[in-house]
Amino acid sequence: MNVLIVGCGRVGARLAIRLSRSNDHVDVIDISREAFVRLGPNFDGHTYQGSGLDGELLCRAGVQQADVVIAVTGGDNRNLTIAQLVKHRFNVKRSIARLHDPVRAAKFRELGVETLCTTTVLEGLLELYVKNGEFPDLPGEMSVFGDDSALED
Amino acid sequence: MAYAIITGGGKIGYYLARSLINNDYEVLILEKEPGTYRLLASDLGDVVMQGDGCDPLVLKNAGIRRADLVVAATGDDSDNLITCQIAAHVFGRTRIVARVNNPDNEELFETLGIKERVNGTSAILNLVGQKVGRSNVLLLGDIARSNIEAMEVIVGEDSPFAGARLGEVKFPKNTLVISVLRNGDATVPTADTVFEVGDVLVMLIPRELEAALREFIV
Repeated sequence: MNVLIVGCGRVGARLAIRLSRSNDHVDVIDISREAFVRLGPNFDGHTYQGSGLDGELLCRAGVQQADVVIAVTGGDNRNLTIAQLVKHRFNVKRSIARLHDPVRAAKFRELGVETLCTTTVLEGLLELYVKNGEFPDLPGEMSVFGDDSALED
Repeated sequence: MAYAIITGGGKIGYYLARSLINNDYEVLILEKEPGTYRLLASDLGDVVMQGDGCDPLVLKNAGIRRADLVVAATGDDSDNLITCQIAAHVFGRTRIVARVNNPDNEELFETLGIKERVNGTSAILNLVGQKVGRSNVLLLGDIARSNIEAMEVIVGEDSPFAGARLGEVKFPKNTLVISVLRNGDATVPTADTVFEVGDVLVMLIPRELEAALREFIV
């Protein structure tokens, strides 16, 4: 699968590393070159510095060959705009926008944008944790307790 | 009294608010930056509210449901797009105007149904293009809610119009010359008007014929 991730913050970088481990081809865009440090030295995808709203940069990053574009920049509106842009202008089949605002996440899902809301996920997990003192079993390598493997040499 | 909500209290939001107030609108500017908000509030008072104009809850509290006009006027195209989409699809507003900062984003706004747009960058680029003499054809702007645009055409020495009678010129179909500016005076042309070098024609033309007109003139 060809994956294009826009936004190389903690979520974007960790997701890029995870997906590229499972044989997906992953490229990453971020406005700041320093952000790519989070990918570590072993990341084998390409990195592109610039705005995820820049059509030329998206083309260079191979948006037309992407099976999925994942917008995980720091801004809800930017993620929504990128997800809609790649779908309408570059005919990308699937685009996903990470949102913090639950209202925008719900309303833009109604409009056909694949949105995921960090707030509703965390609030649900926190409620379980507070009430039960523990979490239900999570699938795969998912963890709610963090991960310090990035420090390893 | 008609109610207008403007998101973004920069220069455009500020002057637009003042102009709408002078035209008897009730106006509310939403500005999220505390510094800009305080500056605006000290000038305009209650007309300004601190808040993010992209946040549906903020818009709801600003009374968007009774707004007759929503103008997304921030310097960020993503923010403006999302405000417009929320105004249209969440709150059912129909008079929505977007400021588009980057000309490349026009197409996306159009595709997503944001039909009324103001693009300062394109307008300035177009004017600068004219000033530096690249073109005798200048786009003045779109006529709102139509496929018509207003153009300004300068009759140059090599122009096919120079010395020609309006009735004889084969303009692209549905093109209308509404005014001829000569020596600072504007006149409404008739079929017998003869164009002179230096005349400026103000024309209305269907948008899809703009390219044909430019070709015709060059």
